[in-house]
Amino acid sequence: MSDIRDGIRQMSQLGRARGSDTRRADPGAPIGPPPPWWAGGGRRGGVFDLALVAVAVLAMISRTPVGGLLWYAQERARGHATELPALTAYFDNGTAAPPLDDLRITDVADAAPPAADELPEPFRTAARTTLAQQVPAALADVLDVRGVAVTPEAALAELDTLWKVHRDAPLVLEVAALGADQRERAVARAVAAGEEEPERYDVHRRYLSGAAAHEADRFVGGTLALATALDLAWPLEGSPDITSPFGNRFHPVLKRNQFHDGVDIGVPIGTPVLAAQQGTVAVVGVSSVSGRYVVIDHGYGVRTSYCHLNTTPVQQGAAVARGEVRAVRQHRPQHGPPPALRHQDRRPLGRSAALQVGPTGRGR
Amino acid sequence: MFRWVLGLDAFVARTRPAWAWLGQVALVLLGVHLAADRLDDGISAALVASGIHWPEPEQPLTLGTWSAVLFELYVAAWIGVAAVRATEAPARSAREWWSRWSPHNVAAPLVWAPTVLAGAWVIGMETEDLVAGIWAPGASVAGWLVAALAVFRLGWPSLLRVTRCAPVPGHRWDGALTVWPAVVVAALAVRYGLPVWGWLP
Repeated sequence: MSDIRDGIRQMSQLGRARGSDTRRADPGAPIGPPPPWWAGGGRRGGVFDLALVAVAVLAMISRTPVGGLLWYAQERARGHATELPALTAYFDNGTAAPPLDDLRITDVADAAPPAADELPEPFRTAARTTLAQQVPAALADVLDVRGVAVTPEAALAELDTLWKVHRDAPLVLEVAALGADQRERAVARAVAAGEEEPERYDVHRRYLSGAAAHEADRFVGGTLALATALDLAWPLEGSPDITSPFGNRFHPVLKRNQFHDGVDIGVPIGTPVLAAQQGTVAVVGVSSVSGRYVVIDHGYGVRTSYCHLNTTPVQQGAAVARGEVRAVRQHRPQHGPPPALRHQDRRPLGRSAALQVGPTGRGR
Repeated sequence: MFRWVLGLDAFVARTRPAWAWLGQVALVLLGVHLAADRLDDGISAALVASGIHWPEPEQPLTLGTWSAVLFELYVAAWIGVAAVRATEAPARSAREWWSRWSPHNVAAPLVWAPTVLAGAWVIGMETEDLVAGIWAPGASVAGWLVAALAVFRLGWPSLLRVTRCAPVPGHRWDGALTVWPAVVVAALAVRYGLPVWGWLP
């Protein structure tokens, strides 16, 4: 309380009316040294204040890019060969899927289709894949309490149980990874901050603690990103030729080996191009390399780009909704599921001479 | 035993000048990040809307994120400079403070105050989640309590320092060009770093 009293006294001095304080004719004249940063701290409460400082510093190190750089600097100073942290990873611009190279996606066709009261596809395949890497700590605790061995299968069965209650895949994954209480706190904080969509998982991540946000990134974000990617539909009707697949290739123009992060499809000019999934138009642009292009953000860090379009009759920020449900065949050169029932937006994005499609998720 | 604990507490209290500033700056940086975390989407949207022809579709989005990173690092450096510069003899009246008027000296407390509050909210949230694992009913109260203590024990002294010990400007427009990123962050901290907007009608 002495701090508060001291502060109020100091501020009242600052706020004194002009002319009421005429003790110093020359304001620039020295009046003594500046006070220490901790003015009026008192002779007690040192341990408490030290604990408060430790919490602030640890939070800063774990949550901010400045903290990441400081951590990196001290690791290098200690001679550890630490990699520079990804500074963009501290920004809430989407969620991270686990690196695809480390995943083995179970073939949907080989697995029995989920029952009506089980977590539906594509969330089931995505959850099975991420659970095979690691079962979230909160979910493992639940299984432990029930005396069930912590296995990916048992964890998936727990997700099915949660599905029967909630019937909302992002909610089921969040509750499994974080617990209902933590999720409710995140929602309450989002509401207090005036977020426009306080029920969205993407929003909740901003209001989770550092450890919880990490866990959510790994399991919830990873699973939702993977599910979104698995659910991408073929953006063209019919079965046009793939003129250049995803992966390393000999570039036909540059005449050298180069990684191709898209799929080139040869179609006649005027062929309608459809959104691969529902989402929001993030970019509509023109470039010397990609021609007219559209980028659609499907959420959870998954975006698709449609390049070399003749026309782009959509605007940035427009919501691209799903159309009727159709059975389509998907061909994806990497990590792709076999044919399945897919939702497909039938609103044309443009008319294409050549099409380039590729998931372009941003990492966190 | 009790005397021993009190003696340790008094000893730690005497060493405050050595470490208190760390917590104070960390609190501000937490608030700066909470505010800057909203920048990338805005910058990306502005870059897309600018009509510039980007070589690759993803470039405005990547550029937006990196711009936000650099923005935050700049403001963090500005915060550090503002802290280091606040070494003048403390102003004892508003008139005395006004004689040191400069954009830098005006911006410093305006940036400090909302970022301190935003940083305290971050610490409060961390505390709430931590306590919830031990004693769920008291988690919310503990979070608010720690946030309030962070404001009064860390934020308030540092706000007084940067306000009262503002440097005597070399020229009247000291900081006129350099304060703007910090002012933007302060505005974002007011909008996104204070848990009040959802409560307002």
